[in-house]
Amino acid sequence: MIDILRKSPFSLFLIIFSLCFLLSIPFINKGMGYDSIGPRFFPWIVSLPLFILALLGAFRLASRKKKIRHDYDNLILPFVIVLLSLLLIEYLGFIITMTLIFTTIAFFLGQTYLIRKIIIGLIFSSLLFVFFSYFLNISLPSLIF
Amino acid sequence: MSSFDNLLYGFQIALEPTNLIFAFLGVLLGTIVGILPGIGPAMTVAILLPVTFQLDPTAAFIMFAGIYYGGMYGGSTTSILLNTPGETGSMITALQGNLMAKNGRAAEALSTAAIGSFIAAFIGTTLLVFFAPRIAEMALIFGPAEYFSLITLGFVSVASVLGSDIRKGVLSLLFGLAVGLIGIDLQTGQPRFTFGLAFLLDGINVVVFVVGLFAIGESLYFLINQKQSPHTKNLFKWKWLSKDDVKRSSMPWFRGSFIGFFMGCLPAGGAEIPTFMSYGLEKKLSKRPKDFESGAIEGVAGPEAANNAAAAGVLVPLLTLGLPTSATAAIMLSAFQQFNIQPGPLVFINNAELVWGMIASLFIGNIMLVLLNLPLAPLWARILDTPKEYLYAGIFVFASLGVYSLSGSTVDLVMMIIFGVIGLAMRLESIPLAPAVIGVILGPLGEQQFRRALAIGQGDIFYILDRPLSLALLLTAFLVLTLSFIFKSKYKD
Repeated sequence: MIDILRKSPFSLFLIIFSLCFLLSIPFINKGMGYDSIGPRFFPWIVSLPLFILALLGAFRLASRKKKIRHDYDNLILPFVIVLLSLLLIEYLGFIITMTLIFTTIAFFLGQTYLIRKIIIGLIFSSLLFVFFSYFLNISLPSLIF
Repeated sequence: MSSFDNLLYGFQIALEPTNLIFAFLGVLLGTIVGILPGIGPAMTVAILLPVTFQLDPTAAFIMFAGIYYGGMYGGSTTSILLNTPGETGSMITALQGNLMAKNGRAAEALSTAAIGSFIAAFIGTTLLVFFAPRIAEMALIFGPAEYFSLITLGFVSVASVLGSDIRKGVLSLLFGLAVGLIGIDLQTGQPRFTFGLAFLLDGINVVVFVVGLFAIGESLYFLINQKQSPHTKNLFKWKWLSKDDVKRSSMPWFRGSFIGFFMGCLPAGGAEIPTFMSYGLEKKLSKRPKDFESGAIEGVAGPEAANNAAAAGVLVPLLTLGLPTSATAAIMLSAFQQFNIQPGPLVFINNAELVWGMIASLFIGNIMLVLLNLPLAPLWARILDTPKEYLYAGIFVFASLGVYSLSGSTVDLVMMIIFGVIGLAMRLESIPLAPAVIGVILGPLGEQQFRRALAIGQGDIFYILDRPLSLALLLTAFLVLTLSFIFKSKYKD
């Protein structure tokens, strides 16, 4: 399982995803009306081959010896910071959230000049805020304006 | 009204000062974002799509047309100078153009690509003006059975033509179809796969799906691969085309334009096949075939023209049948749907102002682009020097902003991140993204048409096969699948 996850994360995701779908199909209400096949037919047509193909693909990839190294350590921390920032956008406001996201991604891609990245992020986010709020009339969460 | 009258009406709309400003903004934004390395036209359109949502539909589509062509122009600059094609249609431009650039002929490659793109877009859009209304009239005879078969043909061709492996294409398509099933069933009103979550009742927003899969997925992929990403050198030095270069480029521009447009029109079209066809043809017809080893100007002129003409060609099935045959076209379809407009035969009647305004603005945008691209080439080339850390950070911010501006919902932002992770996983296994996008957009439509056809046929599935046009489309789908399987097995390497 761990081997499949490492070599074929998408196939493993699809196996779980299609399995959830397959298990939920019997719980879809059939409804009424002139429809002769009902709302369960297409989900079967899609989920079943998806499950089979994902399963075959996962085993095919898992049996391969070739390994490609990716730097996953560089993903986890920025990913958590970005996700938390986006979840808190209503409380932090647009400019702070986007500055945080910009600085985090830029810093993890080139780990130098943190202050410069914060300043660029702040200017970039403020310009976007002004353009979208005042010129395009899009309502963005504001904290400092 | 004839097509020519309609076009004049379109120009009347597109030449209004406000619409001209939006067209200019569109081409400018499209060029700037399209030029950034690793960002193809599909991603350019996806990132900038939410910017247009607050405008009135006509202005939005005029701006959108500019973004579409601007993204195409910008993409060729990156392909030539950095050898980083943003999509498969630019692969030949990158291959031959970058070879030319390495031999000190970057400016010539950029110029032939820009002029070729202009000619191809002009020819492609002109053909679109005259072909699209005819096809739309023919499409009026389409019933649910024909539509279902046509959508099936679209699914089969996209899954088998895009990407290197048919199994991966089908897997991506099935994933997209499954995502498209989430929400309330349109025929019976029953919720499906919502797992008790109220926000899933409306289904997955296509823009959230596309932005997550393309923009966030790409940024996350770069985060884990930054050490393996090659350092590319900007090889720009400005010079005009010589007489010999113009002579060598002129016929490939025209040949590429016609190949690109007609291949792009087909439901199994897209830009990949016509660019390879044009490249093969130019290599065969060239008096100096050895030049192709070090980058031949015909090798850039023809394929780049084919790529741009195909961009106009894909608008034919998109506008007349509501059938997207490329990732960019799929994103454009989602833009139409955001404004509650369903492209198809009636769009030319019900939304004439919007459609003809958009087509006319393609001509205007094309002129703006060639004026922006040729004299300002040195300036555009400097954008390529943007450090990648700022580039991907900017993409992340812009994607989040675009998705948030759709509905002001934090849930959409979280969904975007989830689809970004899925996009990353797909990239890690080299699974094409376009079939998934097309599955999400066309899946619900295909299901609806299939069930309507069955209702008309009183539950008899053979009703779909009894109708000659429907049968012909299904047989074509079968043929496309078989041929791609044979070709891909034969030319696997």
